[in-house]
Amino acid sequence: MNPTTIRFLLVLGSISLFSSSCDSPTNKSQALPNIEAIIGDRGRGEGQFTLPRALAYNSETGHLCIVDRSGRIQRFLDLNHPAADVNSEIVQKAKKDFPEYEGWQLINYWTLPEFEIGYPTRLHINEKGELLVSDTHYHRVRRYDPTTGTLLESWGETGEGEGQFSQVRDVMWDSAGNYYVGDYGGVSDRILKFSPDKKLIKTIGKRGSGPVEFQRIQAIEIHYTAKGEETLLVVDSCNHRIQRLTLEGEFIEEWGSEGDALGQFRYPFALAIEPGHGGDIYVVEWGNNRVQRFTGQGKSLGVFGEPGRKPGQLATPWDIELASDGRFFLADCNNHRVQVFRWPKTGT
Amino acid sequence: MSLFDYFSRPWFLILLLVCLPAIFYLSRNSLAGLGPVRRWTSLVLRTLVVTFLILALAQFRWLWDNEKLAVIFLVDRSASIPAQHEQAAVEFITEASRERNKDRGDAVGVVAFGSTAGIELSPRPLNLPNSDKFNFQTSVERDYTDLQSAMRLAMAAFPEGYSKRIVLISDGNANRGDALEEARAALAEDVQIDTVALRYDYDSEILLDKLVVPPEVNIGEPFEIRVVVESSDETKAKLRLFQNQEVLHVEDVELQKGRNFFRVTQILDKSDMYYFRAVIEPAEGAADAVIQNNSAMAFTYISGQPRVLLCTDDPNLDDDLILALRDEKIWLEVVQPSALPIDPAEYLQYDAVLFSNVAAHDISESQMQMMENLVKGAGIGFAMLGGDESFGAGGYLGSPIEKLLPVNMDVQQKKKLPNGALAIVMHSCEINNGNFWAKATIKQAIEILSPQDYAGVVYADYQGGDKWLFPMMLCNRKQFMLNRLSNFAPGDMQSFQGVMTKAYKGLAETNAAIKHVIVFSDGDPMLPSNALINKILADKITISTICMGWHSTPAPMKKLAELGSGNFYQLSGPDSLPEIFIREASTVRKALIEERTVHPMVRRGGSFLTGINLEALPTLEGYVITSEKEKADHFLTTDSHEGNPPDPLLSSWHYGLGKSVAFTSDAGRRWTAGWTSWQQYRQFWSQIVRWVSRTRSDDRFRISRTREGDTGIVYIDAVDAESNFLNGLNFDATVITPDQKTKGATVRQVGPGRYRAEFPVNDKGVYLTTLKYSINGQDKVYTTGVTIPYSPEYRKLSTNDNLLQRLADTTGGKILDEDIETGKYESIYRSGFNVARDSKDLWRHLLFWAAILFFIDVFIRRVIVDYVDLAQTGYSKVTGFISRKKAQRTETDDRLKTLLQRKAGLKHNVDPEDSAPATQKFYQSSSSDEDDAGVTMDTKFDASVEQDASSRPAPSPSAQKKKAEPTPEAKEEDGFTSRLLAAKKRALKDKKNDEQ
Repeated sequence: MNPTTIRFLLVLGSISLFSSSCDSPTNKSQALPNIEAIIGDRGRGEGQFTLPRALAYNSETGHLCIVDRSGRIQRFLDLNHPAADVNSEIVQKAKKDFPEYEGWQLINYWTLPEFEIGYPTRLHINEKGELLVSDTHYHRVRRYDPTTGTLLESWGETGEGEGQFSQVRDVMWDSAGNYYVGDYGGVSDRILKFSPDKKLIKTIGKRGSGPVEFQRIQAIEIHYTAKGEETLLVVDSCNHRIQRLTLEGEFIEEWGSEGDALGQFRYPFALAIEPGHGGDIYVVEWGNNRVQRFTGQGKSLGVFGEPGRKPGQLATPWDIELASDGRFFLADCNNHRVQVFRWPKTGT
Repeated sequence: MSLFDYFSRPWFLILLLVCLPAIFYLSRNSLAGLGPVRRWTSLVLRTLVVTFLILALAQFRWLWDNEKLAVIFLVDRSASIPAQHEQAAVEFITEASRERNKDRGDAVGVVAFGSTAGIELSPRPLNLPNSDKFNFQTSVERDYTDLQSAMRLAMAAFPEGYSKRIVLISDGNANRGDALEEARAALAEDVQIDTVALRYDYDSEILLDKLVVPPEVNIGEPFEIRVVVESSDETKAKLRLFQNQEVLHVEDVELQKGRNFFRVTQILDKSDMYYFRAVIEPAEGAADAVIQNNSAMAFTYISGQPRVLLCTDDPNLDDDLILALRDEKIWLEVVQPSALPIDPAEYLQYDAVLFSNVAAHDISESQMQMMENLVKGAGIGFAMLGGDESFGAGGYLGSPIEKLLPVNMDVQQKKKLPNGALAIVMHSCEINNGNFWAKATIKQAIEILSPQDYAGVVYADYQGGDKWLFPMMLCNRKQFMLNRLSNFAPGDMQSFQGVMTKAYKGLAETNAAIKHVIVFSDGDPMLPSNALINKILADKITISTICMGWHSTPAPMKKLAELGSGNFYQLSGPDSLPEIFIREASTVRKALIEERTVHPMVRRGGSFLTGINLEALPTLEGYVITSEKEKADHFLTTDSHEGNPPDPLLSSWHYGLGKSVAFTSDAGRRWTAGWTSWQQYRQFWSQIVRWVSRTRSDDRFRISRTREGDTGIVYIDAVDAESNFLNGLNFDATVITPDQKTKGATVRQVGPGRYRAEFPVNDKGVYLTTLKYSINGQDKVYTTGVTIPYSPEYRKLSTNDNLLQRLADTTGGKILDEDIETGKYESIYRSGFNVARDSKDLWRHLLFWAAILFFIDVFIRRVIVDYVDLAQTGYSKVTGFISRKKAQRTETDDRLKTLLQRKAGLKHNVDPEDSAPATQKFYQSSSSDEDDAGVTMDTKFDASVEQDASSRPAPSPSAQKKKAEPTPEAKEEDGFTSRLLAAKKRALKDKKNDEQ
């Protein structure tokens, strides 16, 4: 091959490399899952969001509830879910009135009675399919029928005394039906354990950086260890760590420190746990704009995600939900959307 | 579309006419050495490259028409629209959105407006929510109707790629802006405006149209207070009249349909300012649709001796000054900053205003602006006395007060400039309109800092964590700082630790004398660690906190301010934010206070220093550093100190129609305690105050004020001392509007000695009118005011069909009233609009392909490739490769077969001589085949065979016999092998030849 040919090929190759790199984002971390759908865009219209913060997904029915700053809880249906009856009257009516985003149809929504000073930071679906809402800035927990938006129950009062709430950051329940409320604000940072009939059993933890001390509890989840022990996982956001406690609030272990290396966090905000004993743990990091996956023992398996506005990129994500089919949903707060991801078939 | 629509700069196409022929001509020689194929290929490529470049220069773009229609419903929510009409509008637009042409992809959106406008829903190809779920979320101010701004916002909200139509739902009573001008702009942008008239008829409406009193009266002179009331029908009402908030007159009245006139005679017995307010209330059982237009105000005053207003932060500390002035027969009223009048009319009774240690943050921006207008436009005098909250130390840098004073707040003359450093921690994203307030407050704070001060703003960003908007830097780059604000959008923050660490490090690196941090937040983030706070305090950095919109409790922010020895502010709304930021930013300006013993130096005498023994001026113990304005008169200065030039102490100048004085030390407080015992203390201050006070006109003109529609009118009846009419006077009239703007007014003579000044009155409030004129070479000033009691929203209570029609006609739109009544909503989406044209710039793509083609052209010309031979070689290579593979397989098969035969032969005791030739043959065949990997194997195999052969029993004679004669198969094999060998030799030879 003569030198001129070589030079020509080098120049062509350079042009190709340059043009191909122009639009591609710089990936600081390995992107593993694929985007399946992006639900919503910015605005106050139906199907639109302003800073969505919390999600709850019902794997059995395929419904996804999302709350945002407009004070609405919007409920979408995965039209591709096996249980979704796309010919039903409800779905047909919704198709006429409401928008659909890449296979996700807005079915209904309702507006919270109060949201001017703040809006909920956590949603959960319980075994009955009811929606539990951590109504953070109104110091209470609310339970709704998500099909109609009817309020079923509301409990909690403001204060820093026993059993009172400052800011309800999350509420979780164990197999016995006891509730664990993560409370933050003012001078309090603690978990309040209630019986199924809402009587205060005990207060767990205080503000600080030591074991069973917290700086801004952001989420609580129940995790079954490989041995089948039921434990609490507490997202200790401003301490940049996850703590594992017994159901009585005794310290078991912790992992994480501030940073962006594997195993480190920057303001972890939410957890999602694979079903089964010792299931993998997904942690969404508000500060690092990424999701980190751990084994059930707290060993980091890797991260994905980077800051940005493009599909697949994140801007202060707040919440994560796992579906039973391996998909997961991210409340991409500052991008005013929810992103749906799926692991590729070749590997995880 | 014509060809030239596709180009932004079509005149570049002329280059085609020049360049293309040139290419052909020049290529004749340069490409002559090439073969015909290469020559023509290169020529075509060159032509394409040049063509693409020229098209790129001409900015070629692709255009296409887009038939989708976007409709924006522009809903009037001003105060004149009754609530039930607003609900009807909601039902209409939600229903109408369902009739959009979905097949065409039509989009609908909503914009609401009053005096401000907001986008409710951006246009989307979706129906609007049902009317029971639709709530207006944007807050708009409703006191006025600004159709122009609303239409402008709607036009900006249209998405690209859509044709555009606005459906205006309004009563058409625009009282701000020029709607028709905006309609013309809409026409230019192909935006049609349809209108839907909101009609309302009030069955019963009482309106207080006017309250008229003379602008000035004399003591004991009877005058009339006139009230004009309009009523839609006959009814009963009660008329109440108040004088300075006390009831003056109450009367049950019977109102006729139309205008009703009432008069009350009044006599006043002392000089003062008098405010009158009239209120009309419907009698019990009677109805009144709108109550906001049931009252009106007016004022008059009785002039007497000069009146001076002293505003002081602490009257007790100014006791000596107050006593001195009153002893000198100066009528003095003393107030604190919170009681400083906000109505400009109230200042008409004063001839001068004095500020004694009043900080800028203790009064509003509008009060400062009003003060400047009053001095400049109404001739009122102003004097500022020093103190630790005065001048620059009080945050007046860049303020309207600085403009009217004879000194600058900015200090340049010092060798070591007194400076401060301010870091602002901004966490406002969860506060309503947080971004707006972030920018507004930072701007306020920066503007009062001097160029030698430092400032920096730190915040949390979703991408990079805690960041500087701009790091600590000198404020001589304010424009840079303000530019950085333009896209500022602070993010959410979980903890103050990171931002406070940054702020601390930034402040520590400055050499400022005073260092301060302002934290603005909703109080959600975690407090910084005690270790960090201790470091901050050790460096003498103070922290103030402002908490607004807190979610649970502001206690953490309060604690932070306490720890930081600063101030804590807990706000429920943003109104006082700017003043607070000014106050806190002023903290760093305390470096301007100089406390030492000063001997006042006399630079020159002045009229108000006549009779003062300037050599006997006492010393003083402090003052605020300022700098001289060039055109001002500087009478007293400080002495030089540490090599620095003197600083101003007493200065004055004329500012517009008025005068102002600056005395940078105090008047008998901490710094001039020794002055109160000085014999000439009272004379000194009374002369200054008299000099700066306004000189009132003593001409006996009769002034009256009124309003006709949207026009304010002042009549002047000018007579001389002998009651002769004064004709031909030139009045120069200025009006200070309620929003503190100064405008000119036209004045013309309308009769003997009678003059009329008129000016537009669109806002409610007082229009202060100053008339400057000259008689016998002497300039005189007269000030009065016209009061507009309520917004015109409450005056015009019928639909302005004329404006709505003109808006539709101007833009080619339609009046939709009939269609709406008959339910033909689809007419909103009718065709007949100017179809939107979309475009896509292609010049980047043209440049890219020009570059690619250029390189291909170079390759074509420079690289000689016999393509035929290349193709043939390629073909032969491929076929040769395939053949070799086949031959290998065949050879291998043959060899294997031979080996198997040999093996079989050995098993049956074949004559060893039979085997030897086969072995030899295999070896031979393999030895000539360089590529045959079986050489090694054969070698090994030969050895083993030979070994086997030696160990084998001797073959039988029959076997030997058999061996001696080659079999027919062996003969055939020999021939095949030979041919293969020959073919290989030929191929090798060819290959060598090629390489050579």
